Amino acid sequence: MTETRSRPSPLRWLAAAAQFCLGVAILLLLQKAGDAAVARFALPLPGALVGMLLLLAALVAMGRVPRPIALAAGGLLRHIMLFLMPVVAGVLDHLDMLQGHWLPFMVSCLLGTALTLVVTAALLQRLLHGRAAASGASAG
Amino acid sequence: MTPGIAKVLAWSAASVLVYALALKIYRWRNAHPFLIPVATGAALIMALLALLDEPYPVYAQSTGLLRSLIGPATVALAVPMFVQLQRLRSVWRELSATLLVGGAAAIALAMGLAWVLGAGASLVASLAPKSATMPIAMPVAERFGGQASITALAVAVTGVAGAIFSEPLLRWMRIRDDRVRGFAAGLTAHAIGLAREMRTSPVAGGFAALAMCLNGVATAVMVPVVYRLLA
Repeated sequence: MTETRSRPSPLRWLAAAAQFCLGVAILLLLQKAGDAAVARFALPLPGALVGMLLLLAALVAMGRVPRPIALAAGGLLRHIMLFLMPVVAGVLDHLDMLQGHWLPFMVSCLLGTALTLVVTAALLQRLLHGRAAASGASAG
Repeated sequence: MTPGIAKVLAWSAASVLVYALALKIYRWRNAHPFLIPVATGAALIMALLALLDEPYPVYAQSTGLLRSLIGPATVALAVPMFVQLQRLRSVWRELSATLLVGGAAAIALAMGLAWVLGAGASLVASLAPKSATMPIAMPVAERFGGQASITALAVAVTGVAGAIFSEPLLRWMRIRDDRVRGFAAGLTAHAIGLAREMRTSPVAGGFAALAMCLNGVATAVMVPVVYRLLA
């Protein structure tokens, strides 16, 4: 395999593609497992989120990210907006819900966001500052 | 009614092409928050649908394959979360406390402000999880009577607003710690805040990635709790 190092060989590309597909299959299985757990235990959570927690637990147990998972996760997360786009495009069909309610929608989105930023930043700043001052540790 | 194979191929291909174009515009304009590909891409698709007189449900059914990848991509969020957890273990107490308070504040403010101004139950539910990343926010909102596409719109507006507000707001608060800035932006403005913070510094980007993942989980857990308390 050393001679394929300088330029990508078709073989290496195929191996990566196979690993990518394996990774996607594993992620899909975890999502199905999450869906099953949600149905079985009547959890108020999305199945994919439970699948994510299962994967996180597995990664913590292994202490590393296996290559098929790393490849699939990287590829899917890089283009997650492509998968979401068809749902977002449906907004016109539901816009009547905002008829006469643009004010609460925009205030919630703009003012709510600004206040959340302020609360979060102020709290973390206080917590990290207090700790650094007390222990004398320097901030990273 | 299921769409024919020709429509499935045509609309899936059109979506990929439109997305590629939207991504190109985004990079060309230096990742401006107003031009996130999911928003510009969806706008182009809506224009295309109107132009071709194609009803949205036909398009939605034709692009089921793309939508079916949202689930695996959500599961994949465990990977960046794992990587960041390894790196940021030293400050986990501070981050956990901030996550609880900040995540709860995001939900309470989203629901409370809308309710006070007269929004109905469905709109309030659509807004509740809007600081979470889209694939988590949408199913959470739907469970409590929200509308996924309205949630998507709220998530996008929140993300754009957060990415634009974070810099001036934190400067006004005299906060210069990149860790604080990244965490606040990721918690509030999910992937759009993360995209913004990755351009600030690697430290801000790492904290934003962790905050986005953590708040996705926190929101999915806390919104049902809020509804139980209200019932």
